[in-house]
Amino acid sequence: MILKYPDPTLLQISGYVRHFDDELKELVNTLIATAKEHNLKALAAIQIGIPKRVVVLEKGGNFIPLINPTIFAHSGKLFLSKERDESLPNVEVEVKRFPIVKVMYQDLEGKEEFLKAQGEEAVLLQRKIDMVFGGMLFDKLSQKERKKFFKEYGFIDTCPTYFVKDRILAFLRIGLTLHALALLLSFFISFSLPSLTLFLLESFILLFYAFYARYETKKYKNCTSCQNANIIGTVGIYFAVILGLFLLGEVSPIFEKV
Amino acid sequence: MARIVVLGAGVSGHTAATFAKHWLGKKHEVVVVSPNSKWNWIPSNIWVGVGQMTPDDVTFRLAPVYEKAGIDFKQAKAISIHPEGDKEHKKPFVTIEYTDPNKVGAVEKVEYDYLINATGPKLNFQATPGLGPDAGNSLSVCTYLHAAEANHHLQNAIERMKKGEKQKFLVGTGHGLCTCQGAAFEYIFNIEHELNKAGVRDKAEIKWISNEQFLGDFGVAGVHLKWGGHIVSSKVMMESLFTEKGVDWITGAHVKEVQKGKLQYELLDGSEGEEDFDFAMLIPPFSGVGLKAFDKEGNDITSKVFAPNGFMKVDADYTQKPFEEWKASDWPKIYQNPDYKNMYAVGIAFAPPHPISKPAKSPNGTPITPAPPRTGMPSAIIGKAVARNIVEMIEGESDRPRHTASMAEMGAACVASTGKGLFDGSAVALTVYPVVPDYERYPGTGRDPEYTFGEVGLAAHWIKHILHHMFMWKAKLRFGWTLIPE
Ligand SMILES: Cc1cc2nc3c(=O)[nH]c(=O)nc-3n(C[C@H](O)[C@H](O)[C@H](O)COP(=O)(O)OP(=O)(O)OC[C@H]3O[C@@H](n4cnc5c(N)ncnc54)[C@H](O)[C@@H]3O)c2cc1C
Repeated sequence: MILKYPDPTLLQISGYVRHFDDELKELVNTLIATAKEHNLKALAAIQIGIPKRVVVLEKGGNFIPLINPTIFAHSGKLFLSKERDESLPNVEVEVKRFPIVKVMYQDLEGKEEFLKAQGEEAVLLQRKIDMVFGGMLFDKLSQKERKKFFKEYGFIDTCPTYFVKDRILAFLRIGLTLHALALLLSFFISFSLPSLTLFLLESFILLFYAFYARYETKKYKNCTSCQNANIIGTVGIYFAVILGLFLLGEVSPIFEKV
Repeated sequence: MARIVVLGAGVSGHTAATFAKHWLGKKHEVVVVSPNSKWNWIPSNIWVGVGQMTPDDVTFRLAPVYEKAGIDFKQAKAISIHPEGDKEHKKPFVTIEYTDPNKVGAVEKVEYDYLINATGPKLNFQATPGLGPDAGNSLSVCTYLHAAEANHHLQNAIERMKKGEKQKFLVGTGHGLCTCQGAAFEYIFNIEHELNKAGVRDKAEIKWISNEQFLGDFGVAGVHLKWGGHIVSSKVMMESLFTEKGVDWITGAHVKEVQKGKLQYELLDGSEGEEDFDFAMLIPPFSGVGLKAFDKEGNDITSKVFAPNGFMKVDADYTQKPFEEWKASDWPKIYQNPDYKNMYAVGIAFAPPHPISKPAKSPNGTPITPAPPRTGMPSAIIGKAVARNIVEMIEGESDRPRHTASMAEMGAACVASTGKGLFDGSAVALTVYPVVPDYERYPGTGRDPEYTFGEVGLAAHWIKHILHHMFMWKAKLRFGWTLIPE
């Protein structure tokens, strides 16, 4: 069975094939059978739910397996190609592709092989190899086009990248936006904002963010300095905004008098 | 009183020496041997290379910092290691030759109880005929002086373009076995940014050339990032970024020779090509700095202590094995030399067991595989762990190294800016955990997908600037330096 978006399995990065054994041969046979059954010229293992770097490609009536394929060279000018894919049914997307590509891959015995493809075959290989690396057609779109695409076809988020610290920041952002709006309103309608209270409250949330973010990022053995730099920078920028709002709030009654 | 001798005052050596002294206090001695009078925050050389910083912004004099810290600094280069001593010296020692202007050429034997080799890389421009600033055909940003020279050429090129001339920029790696693709990547987009700022982008053709098997390999078989709600390999993102910015690329290339304004290369499939340029910045391959080793009798034991590429052997598994059999446990944990237990190698100076990217050779037998990067963060973490172990052994807290710093248990993050903006800056974080894939723990990519997260929220260039100041502060041992993480 061919998986279809938004099946989250499709959105994984496939791993290297490291063992050229019977299991691999079986996978290739299944892939070829599935491709034939669906009348396809190429199919990636991830499309049948196996996250391994394997693609089968029809060449002169026969299917050849491309194990661990990568595109290492291209030539010709990028052109806009209108593409569909069996894993993204009913969708047509315009993406930039190279007219000629060179692919390095291994055969079923693990021997290194090379392939030069052009025209339709080149486009097909670019799309399939992208899928091997976790890239779907929509990943090739510009940010704006991608937004439009997700609006139309639905969006799923499979990436566990959310931190509580980001939610604290989002909360603070909403608060600051409301504060700014209220401040703006206070220029037109006469009411006074509790400027100092808001300043202290916002600063407190920011401080809480800083400590919580430090605690949360400590749980990961990642680039601690990048994380710290991010926290320091974020606190700096947000504090500047908080201070700005406070000062504006302080001077606004003077404007009113004027 | 024990004496630790640290060879090299770069990222890893400076970290090891300063922490060792901080923990040991006055009771024991820490000696640093390094040929340069200045410390250089190398990652910021990229900005020197585009004129956004000066060499003074990225360097400081080491002597006053070491004096304040109580570290004995010898401005000299190490020449040989004698781990068994010799007929006159019972203790092991290193032979050093002074580069200090007051003593230049003087040779000294410095005895040690513990030795940390942190000599980093030799920039091996000789590996490719015609490569590098000395040959005069291509530029480099690997040292601050190289970067300043690259900026000089960049400004000239900008002037030419302002007069209407076209210029072609070629940036990447100058050999099939290079590492440090990340630095070249940052440089190419910093150039692109500067050309835009100068209003001459339309006059420039910018091209990437590297030994990666695919764009975005970075010598670590690709990194991960969040893109449109899911995790993709850096290949997908890099191709989009390069395309969007109008930068073309050549990958899988071993540069064979560089001449004035042109270079020849061989591709993975053995085919050959030529590329001309007006400006080329090509990172050289790295090798060990060429230290020799001798036993008590004066016999040359260099090949016992060092791997053929000149890096020092440590507790890694150096058995030659195919990619299919690589394991996370091949990678060193305590960076101790297997024959001489009081000798350690940290940062770029230790010999990795094998590459991280999948190895490849062209049909002509030319290896075209990125060497494994050992970037600033792992280098510093390793330096600190080794210093901790040595300090514990000196103080009798332990009889063997207890703290490990395997690159197969370390994550890495690289922040790449793809757009500016205070609140909605479009920056991406390329992350991997672990740096060295662990195919047993994480079958498939060898990496933990759960650990792939974007540490962004702030435009990337802000983070980079803050990091610059944080690390300069830390390296100068200013107030609270020990609290700043690696
Ligand atoms: C342009 C560029 C940009 C980079 N950007 C980043 C980045 O953004 N992030 C990141 O994490 N990493 C980055 N890196 C990598 C980072 O700079 C290195 O990983 C780091 O410097 C390695 O530290 P090290 O201590 O092993 O070697 P080095 O820092 O190179 O230090 C080696 C030291 O040994 C000394 N030495 C040499 N020969 C001898 C001798 N015979 N005797 C005694 N001493 C000797 C040298 O003078 C030097 O002081 C970048 C590298 C480059 C070139």
